[in-house]
Amino acid sequence: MSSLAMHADMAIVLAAISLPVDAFAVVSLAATWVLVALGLHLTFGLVGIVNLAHGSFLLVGAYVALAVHGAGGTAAAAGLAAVVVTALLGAVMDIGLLRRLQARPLDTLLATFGVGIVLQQAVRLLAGPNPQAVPDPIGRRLEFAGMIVPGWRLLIVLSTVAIVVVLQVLIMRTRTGVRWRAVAGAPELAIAIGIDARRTRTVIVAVGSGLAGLAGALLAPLSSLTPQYGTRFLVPAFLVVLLGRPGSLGGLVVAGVVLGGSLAAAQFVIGPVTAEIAVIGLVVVLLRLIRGVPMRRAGAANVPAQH
Amino acid sequence: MKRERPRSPTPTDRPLLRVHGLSVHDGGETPIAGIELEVDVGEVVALLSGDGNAGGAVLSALVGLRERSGQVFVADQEIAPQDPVAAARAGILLAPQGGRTFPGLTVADHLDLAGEGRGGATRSVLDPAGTIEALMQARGRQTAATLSGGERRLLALAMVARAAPRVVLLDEPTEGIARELLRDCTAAVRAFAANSAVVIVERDLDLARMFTRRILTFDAAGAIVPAPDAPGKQQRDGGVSL
Repeated sequence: MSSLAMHADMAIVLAAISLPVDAFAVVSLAATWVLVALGLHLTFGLVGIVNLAHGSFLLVGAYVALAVHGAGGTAAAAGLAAVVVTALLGAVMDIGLLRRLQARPLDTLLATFGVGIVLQQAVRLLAGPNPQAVPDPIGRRLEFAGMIVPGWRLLIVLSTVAIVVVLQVLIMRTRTGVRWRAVAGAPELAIAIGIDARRTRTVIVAVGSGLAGLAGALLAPLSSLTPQYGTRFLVPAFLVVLLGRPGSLGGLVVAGVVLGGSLAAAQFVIGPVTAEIAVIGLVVVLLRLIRGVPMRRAGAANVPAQH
Repeated sequence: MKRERPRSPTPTDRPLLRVHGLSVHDGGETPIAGIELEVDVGEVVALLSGDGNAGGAVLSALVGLRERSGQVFVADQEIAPQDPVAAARAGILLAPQGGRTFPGLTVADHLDLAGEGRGGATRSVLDPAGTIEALMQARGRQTAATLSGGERRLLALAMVARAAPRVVLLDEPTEGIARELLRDCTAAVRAFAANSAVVIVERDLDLARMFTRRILTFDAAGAIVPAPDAPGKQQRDGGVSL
């Protein structure tokens, strides 16, 4: 968590140096990159599933938020509904498909890809192909130290911080988290002492999917929604998970902040397209730099360096 | 040497663990077929591991981690095949080979989890000398990855103990254990035997003799028979000899 604060500070310092950079935009995009990667990180780090349907869960979350807004519901109701719907879809995906494909990683990958397409087409059938908009639930903007801070974007940043804190406490400090890490670290042993590893896996996949849905609901008011909405987040999410290393929430936050932050900062200086290319280049360079560091799953988290 | 065997509490007075016609599929090069085995509370049975650790395959089949046919009863309750969670809840617990632990979890986490798996069972089978518990108390906040290999093996035993097992299956508990921890290991097994039926898989006769005189091995057909050099049959009613 301290690393998040550190990098947020860094982003502000960076912004102060290069004048045309809007510091809040940097913070906002950094938070967004962390937010969209959280669910993917959880399922990959704890269950070892690369969920290619992640973007579609974001999409479903966004459209559920749209529907709730359309029915006159509040933003909180929209977020809650998005979490519930996507978590249930994630549980169904695990019980119906992924559980049967255990120990077949490539088939699992393909299955999640298929689920992604099915969800995307379902959204197209139910909501139509035309762009739709979720109204900004706050609408107001703050002016702070010369920066313009849109209220909803500030809420996204704060929500992301809150979600990261809650997840970290859940995984590292609660009995549930201990069980999750046990199943992630040594599933056979967990089963041998009577932990229902299959149910635990389903719960983790559901929570990961629910996080994607929540991210979708939070980000929905920022742009118009089409059935292709989810795809744009897939690349950022995968880059962050790839760089953040599975099993390390701190690493994920640092990766999200570094990548999202540098993209936002670079956009002001070298333009959006060049900035995106530069960020991909940055990922390649950073991955080369940390290549000597062994990857580890969440069950092995917090192992001292000598091991 | 001989001690009175604690009487089984089951009204039928049949042995706590009964295995009938057990065959293990995909058990490696050694065939495993038609195994008959009865172990009561207070008994320790050692099974020589055989080629490709067929003994270990039998143990994992008993707890449902491996495909099997045949019947397994714990206190007259039949254990369904391939349902390891149900097996653990029925009180038949396996400490896997190599003292497997959860690398990122603390020692205290391990013991909590083990107790929880049995539906909140609290009865803990303590080692009489208290060595394991003492070690675990001292190391409670360390992760398993920071323990020595021998300590990890004791942790694996302590986990099984915390789960209050009725049938304890130990797959090569002494493998790679330091000489000074060996006595703790045999003491733990003796403590298990006070309340449970114990089946140990060991590589050779000498190691097996440290735990019991009832030593079994595989015959060519894949069934288990008394080891040639061990007075297995006579020991059947003799109880624990440690």
